[in-house]
Order: sequence, then structure tokens, then C-alpha cells
Amino acid sequence: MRSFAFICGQESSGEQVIRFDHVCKRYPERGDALSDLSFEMEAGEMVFLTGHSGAGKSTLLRLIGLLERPSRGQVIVNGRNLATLPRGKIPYHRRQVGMIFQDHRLLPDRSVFENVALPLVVAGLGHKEIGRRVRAALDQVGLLKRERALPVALSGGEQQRVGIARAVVARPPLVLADEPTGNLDPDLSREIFALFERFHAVGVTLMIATHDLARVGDFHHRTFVLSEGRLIKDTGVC
Amino acid sequence: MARPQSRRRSGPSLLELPGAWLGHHLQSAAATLGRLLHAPLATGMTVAVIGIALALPAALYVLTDNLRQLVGGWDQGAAISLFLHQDLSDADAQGVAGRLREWPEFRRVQVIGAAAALAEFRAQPGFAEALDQLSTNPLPAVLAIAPQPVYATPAEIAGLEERLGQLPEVDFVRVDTQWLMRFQAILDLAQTLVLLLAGLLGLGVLLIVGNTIRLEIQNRRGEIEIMELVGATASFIRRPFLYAGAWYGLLGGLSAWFLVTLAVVALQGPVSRLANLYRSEFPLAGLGAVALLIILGGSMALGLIGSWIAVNRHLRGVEPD
Repeated sequence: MRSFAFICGQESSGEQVIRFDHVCKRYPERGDALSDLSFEMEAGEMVFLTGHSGAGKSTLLRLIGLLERPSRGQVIVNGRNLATLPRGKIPYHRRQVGMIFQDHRLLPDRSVFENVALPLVVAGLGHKEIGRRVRAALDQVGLLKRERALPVALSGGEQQRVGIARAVVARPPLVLADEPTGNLDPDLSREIFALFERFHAVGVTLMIATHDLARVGDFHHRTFVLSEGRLIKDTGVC
Repeated sequence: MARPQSRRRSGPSLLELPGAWLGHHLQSAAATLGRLLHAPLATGMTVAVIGIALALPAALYVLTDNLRQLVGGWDQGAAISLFLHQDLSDADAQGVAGRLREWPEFRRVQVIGAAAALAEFRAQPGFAEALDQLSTNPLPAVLAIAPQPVYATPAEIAGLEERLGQLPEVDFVRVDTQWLMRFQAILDLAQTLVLLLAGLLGLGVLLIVGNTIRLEIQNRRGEIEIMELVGATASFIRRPFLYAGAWYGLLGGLSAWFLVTLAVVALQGPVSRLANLYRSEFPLAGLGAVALLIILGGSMALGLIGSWIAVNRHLRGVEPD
């Protein structure tokens, strides 16, 4: 197995990557999704985010990726207050955050290679560099041989690995995963979590929302428990 | 191990940016064309609609252009015919012509002597026998006068007509310009109609392209959302749609040119036969290089503006969820 040096993470340096400051998120149709949420996360940390569905896990991740803005309070990522980030800067913020979804969000009419290359293409990288980095990322998730395949030709676990390769190919310092193993059987989800563990080992900051408590138990990482939009438990850095 | 990305934004450096930018544009333009050609039926229909819409004013333009040329050819001839008294000799006619050539209003004064006029008539089929019946030449000497263009207005011509009629040598004056001027006015009207029609159908092209791009945005909504998720800027997402609009316009303009050229080629035969019946030749003019450039540039601009409007109206609503 090759090393993970290609993923450019950060050493655990005490540098603050995420800070939530009394954050509330209220949807007009279903009330508070998050209420008075405050926490801090340091560079290189790996955090599990657990709780029942509807507890606010996805909302929390969406606030970090700026898919939503909080109703109240402040979200600070990489030292930048997202509330003051102008609309035109959002793309550059998202390039610093790799996002992984339960439903993979792959483009069905593009090959595995093209899907993984997308973050590099939008960042304007050259052909050679894109080819090099995409193959490195596909190699890490064990799909180098499937680069020409279309997503439909892949199994659910493979599709999720393509989604993971896409999230890390641009070497973002922060990776968010929203129920990445929601549709996978235990063996496959163990594989996915092993991948995350390896990213963590090279210093990537990860936040993984999951209700797969068996997997969470396998690792000894900081875990947040959300319930009805409130942080009811934070195990702290293990 | 490389350094943390937060301190070094991934992407091209400033130095390689212009090249990468141009490269991306070329690639985007080519990729968009490839995508359009990949769906030949849908693209063909949109292009055909644009082509037909643009062909209509272009064909009308070609029509008025040809008529103008036809009339312009006639305009070279005498606008005023001065019929001298029967008893004046050709030498007298030359004298009158010499005096009239001093007038600043006239561009050309041509003497058609009585004998020359008779010879001209004789050359016409059927006239020879009739003229042989006559013992004397019934034709007077005629001065064919072309006024300077600045004096070719109805008011000036009317003034000239009166002054010339007062000359003692002149039997009567005939002005040929009246119908030409009316025709000229009709042509001007037609040209204004061409412009109005072009404006109206140009607006139509704008709507066609706008609607096509709107549908395209709807169809690719998922893709746009994913692009936004991985950090594509608004201009990056806009670009292929704008190129698609420009391509639609350009291809539509080309097909309009093709349709008009086809019509000109098809009409050339009948027009030649008609001209032959008038013992004349009339080569139909197609769309000239300048007109073609205007059509292509205009249609491309229309496509670009149409897609710009659609993109600005509809891309704003696409947010990842």
C-alpha cells in the first residue's frame, strides 16, 4: 500500500479549524434544526457526529460547507467567519472543504476519472497535474483500474469510494462526510472507515456524521452526540 | 509531505493564469460545440428555427439590394430628355449641348442626332419596315441630360424642367425620373421594413436561444449543483451555457446564409429568362461578404445575449442541497 503523502493534511498543531459560537439554525417549516451549538475542533482531529436522524447532523455539516447559513451565531472555519464571506468567495471556501454524501452525488454520465477530476477542473489545474492527482486519489481508494467506468457500473461501496476520492483529490485540509456508509453493509462500511482512519493518520481534519455506532465504537475518536439540535455529549479529544 | 493547503491555494499561479484562462476558454468552447453536436437532432432543430428566422430579413435584404442595383443601372441613363425643334440641324443641337454643358447642374449632356435616333429605332425589331414607309426622318434631335446627383431631387428637377422648357430651341422636355423616385421611395420603405423585421425576428432568436438555454440549465441542474459543491465559481458554471448560446447563434446565422444562397441560386435561372425577354442580363447578387459578416456577428451576439439573460435568470436559483 502506498503512503498517503499525497493527501495534504495538517499536523495536529493546536490550530483551530472549526469553531461554532452559539449557532442556531431555524427552518421556517420545521423549527429549530440546531439550537445554541458551540464547539471547537482543532486541525488534524477526527470527530464522529452521531445522533438520531433529524438530530441536526446534516445541518451542522451543511453550515460548515456553506450550503446553509446559520440563523444566529457564528461559524468560523480556518479562521474565517463564514457570515462575512461574500457570495463570490463561497467557491473558494468550498475548495478547502471536501464533502462526502450518503448518495455519493456522482455525475452519472461521466467516467470515474472525470468525476474525481471535477474539483481540480473547476480549480483550473492543468491536464497533466489533474491526471497525476486523480490517479493518485483513485489508487488510494483502490479504484485505479476502474477510471474509465461509469458510476452505474460500480457497486455501492465502489461509488462511495469514488465520492471519497473526489472529496480528497484537491487535498483539502478539512473533509466532511454525511452518513458515508448509510447504504453499505458492515464489511464495506468497515472498509470506508479504514480509509478515513488512514486520512486521519496523515493529518487530514475529518468530521464524519454517522449513526453507525458499531463503527464509532471500533475507533477511539472524539464523538459528538446531537439530540434535537443540541450537543448533549462531547467525549473530548481521545 | 507537502505543506498544508490552507496557506497555498490550490490552483494556477498568476504567471500561468493567462495561458490557463485562454486554454480553458478554448477548451470550453470546443467542449460545448462537441456537446451540441452530440445531440444533432435537438441542436439541428434549434439552429434551423434560428436560421429560418434570420433568413427572412436576410432574403428581403437581398431582394431590395437587387432591385436597387437594377434601378441604379437605369439611373445612369438620361433623367431628362430634351426634344429640340424638328427644324434644327445636328450642328445646332451640338451648339445647344455645348451651352448646357456649362450649367453646373448637369453631369452629362449627350446629343442624339436625328439620324442617330433613326438608326437606333431601325435596329429595333419590327421598326425597320415601318420607318421605310416614311419619306423623311420624323425624329428630332434629342439631348439626353443626366443631372448631378445633388440636383436629382424632385424639386430641383422640376425647376430644371421649367428653365429648360424656356429655351427657344426646345420643343418639349420629358423627365423620366418621377417613377424612378417613387420606386426609390418604395425601396426605402422596404429597407425600413427589413430593419423592423430583422429587429422583431432578432428578438425571436433571443427568446429561442434563451428558452433553449433555460431548458439546458434545468436538465443539467444536478450537474450544476455538484459543480457548486466542489467549488466551481459562478463564471465557470456560466461559461459553457454562454458558449452554447454563441454557437447556436453562429450556426443559426450560417444556416440563414445557406438558405438565402440556396434561394438565390434557385431564382437565378428564372430571373435570367425574364431578363432575356427584356433583352437584358441580370445576375442576381447574393449576400455579400459584409452582409454575411453582419449576419454571423449579429446572430452570434443575439445567441450570446439570449443565453446571458437565461443564465442570469435561472442559474441563480440553482443551489446545492
